[in-house]
Amino acid sequence: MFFQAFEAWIDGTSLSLLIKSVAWIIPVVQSVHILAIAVVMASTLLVNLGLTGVLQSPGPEISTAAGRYLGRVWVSLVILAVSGLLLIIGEPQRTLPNPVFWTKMILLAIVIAMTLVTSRQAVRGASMSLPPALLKGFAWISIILWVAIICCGRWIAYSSAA
Amino acid sequence: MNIHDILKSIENLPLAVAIRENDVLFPWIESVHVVALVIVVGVISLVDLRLIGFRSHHRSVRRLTRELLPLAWGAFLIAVTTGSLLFASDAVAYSGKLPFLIKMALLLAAGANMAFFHLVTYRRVDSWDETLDTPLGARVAGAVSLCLWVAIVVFGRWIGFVDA
Repeated sequence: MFFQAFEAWIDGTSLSLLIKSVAWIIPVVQSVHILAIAVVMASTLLVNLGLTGVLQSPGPEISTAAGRYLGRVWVSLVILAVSGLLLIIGEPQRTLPNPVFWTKMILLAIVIAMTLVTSRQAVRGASMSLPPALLKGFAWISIILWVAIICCGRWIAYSSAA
Repeated sequence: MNIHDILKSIENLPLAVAIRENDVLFPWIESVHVVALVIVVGVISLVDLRLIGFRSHHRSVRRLTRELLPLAWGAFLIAVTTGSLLFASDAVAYSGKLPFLIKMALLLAAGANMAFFHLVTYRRVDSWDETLDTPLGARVAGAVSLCLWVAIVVFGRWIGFVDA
């Protein structure tokens, strides 16, 4: 109810009409969204598994490796934001009134905040300011959060009123 | 026993029926499928980029593959399992969808490409692993693999937009 006027306005924009009228736009944008998720998931998984000790860190290379992995994550998050925005504009009723969508956004905000903390740690390497146990905990929680975000993403389609 | 009968009997398996009739099973299995596939595609892409020649921080292909391929294989098995369950729940319909059939063909091609790489090009990896000179066979394998997996994602997504 809260979003109805906003959704109606979005629906009427020329961008929204374009997205809705060309059949391949949404599938392609969703595919781009999924491919960007693949970059984020693989990169964060490798850095986090390295922090938890499950994967062996390649010694002093870990700092530069983590730095480059995380660089890709930030770029991919921009791609995810843009593609996500296009999907929202194309189908506002599917996302804006949907509590699963907002859950996904909140989890995303949390994991991004955690990534900012752990990335400084992973990149700085030896100069640990966080206790190792806390860092490991953050890494495991991050992995779980990313999985939860992906599940929320898929569930948007099944929980929307549209 | 023609193909249609076989597909019908798959659809009638108790597990397939349960997935089809339950409200939440399909979405959850599909969610696990997505988590698994993004790990597969993401990890394999890292190996492929190294093979093509982008050695940003992984000089050694051997070390990269030793750690990452088991992870990719584990995720791939989960993707195949969940995919099979999803397929079984509506086997007749999926078999009639062109994007699904193309996706299966692409998966076979990706598997064949990987097998060829492991059996042929990778055999001589010691001679080129740390050098700047990745052999053409390895570069081609990496590029082909990357293209195939992107296509697999695209056709996989497309399945949901095609009516039976």
